[in-house]
Amino acid sequence: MEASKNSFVFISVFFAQEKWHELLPIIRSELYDHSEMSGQISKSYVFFSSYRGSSIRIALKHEDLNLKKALERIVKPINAFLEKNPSNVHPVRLPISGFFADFTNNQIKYNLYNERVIMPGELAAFQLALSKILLKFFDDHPVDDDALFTLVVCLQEALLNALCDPHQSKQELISVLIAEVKRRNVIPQMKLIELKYSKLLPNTEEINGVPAIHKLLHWFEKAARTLYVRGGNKVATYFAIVQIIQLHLSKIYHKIFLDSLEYLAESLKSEYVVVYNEDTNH
Amino acid sequence: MARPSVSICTVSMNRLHHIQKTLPVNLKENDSLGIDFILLDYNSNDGLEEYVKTNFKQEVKSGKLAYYRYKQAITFHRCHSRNMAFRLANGDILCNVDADNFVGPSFGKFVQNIFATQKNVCLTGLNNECKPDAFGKLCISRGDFMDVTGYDENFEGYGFEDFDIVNRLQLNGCKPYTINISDFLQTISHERHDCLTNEYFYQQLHALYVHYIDHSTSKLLYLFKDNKCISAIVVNNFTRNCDDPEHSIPKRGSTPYQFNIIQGWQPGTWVIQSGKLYLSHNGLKEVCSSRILEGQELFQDEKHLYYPVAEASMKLEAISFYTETKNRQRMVDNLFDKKIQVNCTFGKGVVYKNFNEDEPIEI
Repeated sequence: MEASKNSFVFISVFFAQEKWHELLPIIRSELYDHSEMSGQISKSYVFFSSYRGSSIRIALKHEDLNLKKALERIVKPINAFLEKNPSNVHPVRLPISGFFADFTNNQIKYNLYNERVIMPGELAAFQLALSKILLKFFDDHPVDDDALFTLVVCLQEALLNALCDPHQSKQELISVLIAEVKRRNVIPQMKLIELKYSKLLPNTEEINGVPAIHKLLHWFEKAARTLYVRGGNKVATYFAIVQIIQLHLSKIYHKIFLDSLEYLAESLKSEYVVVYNEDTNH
Repeated sequence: MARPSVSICTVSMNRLHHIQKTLPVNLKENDSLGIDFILLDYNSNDGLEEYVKTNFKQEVKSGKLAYYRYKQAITFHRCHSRNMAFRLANGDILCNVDADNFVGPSFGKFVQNIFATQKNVCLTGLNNECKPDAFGKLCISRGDFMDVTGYDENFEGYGFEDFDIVNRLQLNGCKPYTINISDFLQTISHERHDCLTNEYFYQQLHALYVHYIDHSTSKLLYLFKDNKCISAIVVNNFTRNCDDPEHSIPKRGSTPYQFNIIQGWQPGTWVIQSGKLYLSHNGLKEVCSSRILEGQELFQDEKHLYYPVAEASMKLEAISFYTETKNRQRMVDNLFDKKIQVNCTFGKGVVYKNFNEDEPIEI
């Protein structure tokens, strides 16, 4: 099958989750540190996945007809890393959870997912920011439950800042959202079609490369605010963005969003403000 | 042309929890002349009869709702039950509406209008753009139903019976008209579990095992309670070329099937004796030793390592996969052979109407 102009290739790097933070800087470097890549890869998105094994997914939008050449530049260093630093290969876990065997660690596979993971229109800009947040946030810390929780707290705080206005305190907003998350029991699949023509999101040039995490979170907050102002519905905006976050963070169930909202509510009560500390990283 | 009468038919086997939500709404929203409802109770034991008796006295008395009970059903047979309901209906137009489907406001009138103004047409929920759960909705004239001998009763379990009957209606000169009005396609969202647990294969399943061959190929082994078994080698078409970056997952609709069966389903027999699993397929014998790993009993020989499937949802998925692939093949065969009629007899059985146990009705 010929790769068509301006389409995606979907990479899955199977690697043990406990060592993802060692792999992420390699991926970051290959995606953002080489300026020569810009002509071939127009956009890239990063996802965590536990589908049929533990993998970091990279979706690359390429405009170059020579896909193989473009891919080689990115994949070669990753493959070299996998060969040099193989992670543990886990045996089949019982009880089995799928009809096909998981992919073993330390290998790269292609196109196990498709365009459905990319949001329509400008909403994909959120995914660009989220991908960079993942690359920056976990560049020297394991992707474990605690760190994921901390990340979700940071993202939710940015979201809450975006959705707050003089008519409703942050505390009140959190209560409304907690009630909604509990009522719905799952994070609903929002209809994002009506949001896809949001042309007013902040320019992604503000977050070129992989800037500091506070800059990324600031962009994320501004973009969420824009979406809210345009749509006028706090709850719908909240769930739409949470849905996008879920796409990127594997195995993040609605409970973690609920727990982190409750954590933020408690923090506000005790006037403790969660601030991401760039120096200590979490 | 006079407005035809419409019978809205629903079958239920232990789906009271759905009927309680849909039937009252459906009756209320379609309370006009020339529209009646048939509810075929396929031997439910969840209190459906009592529920109807208590809550719809007026509707039953007026003839708006006819309740039938088929006591011989042991497991659910989707095609037979629908044929039976259609044969019990008096309307010129027969509509199948699944237990979890809402008919929609004035749907009956909508159907009347379509059939009053168009000839050789059938209404179908297949491939509608709103709700896949409403694929089962079908409205056909009594004549067309009889011409094609109803749903194909050779289909077992879940899948493709709706596509098959529409194919055969088309072969018979009927033009399918897809219902794309959202109000007519509302359903109760629920787990697939509800649709499958009453079916024969699920009730007969003793155990299910998987032998992994490679990342895109596995062998599935189903052991049934009557010591029969089936197995198949399944290939995942979406992942088998995942070493090639230029080979992408087919887009939705561009290829119908994610999975292929190599060499078809293999029937056989099984028995466990002295901790060993003895399998016999087409004269070939396998003897697998039992091994306990992490509390799970595995079976293995030199060529296979069978992992047990413990999760109920996976078992249901495997059962529907089996019936869907079998039914899919039957549908393809019917189409290839240009078969219009598929049943010698259909919808047969003895039923009781409106709680009257004294007057059996033989279809």
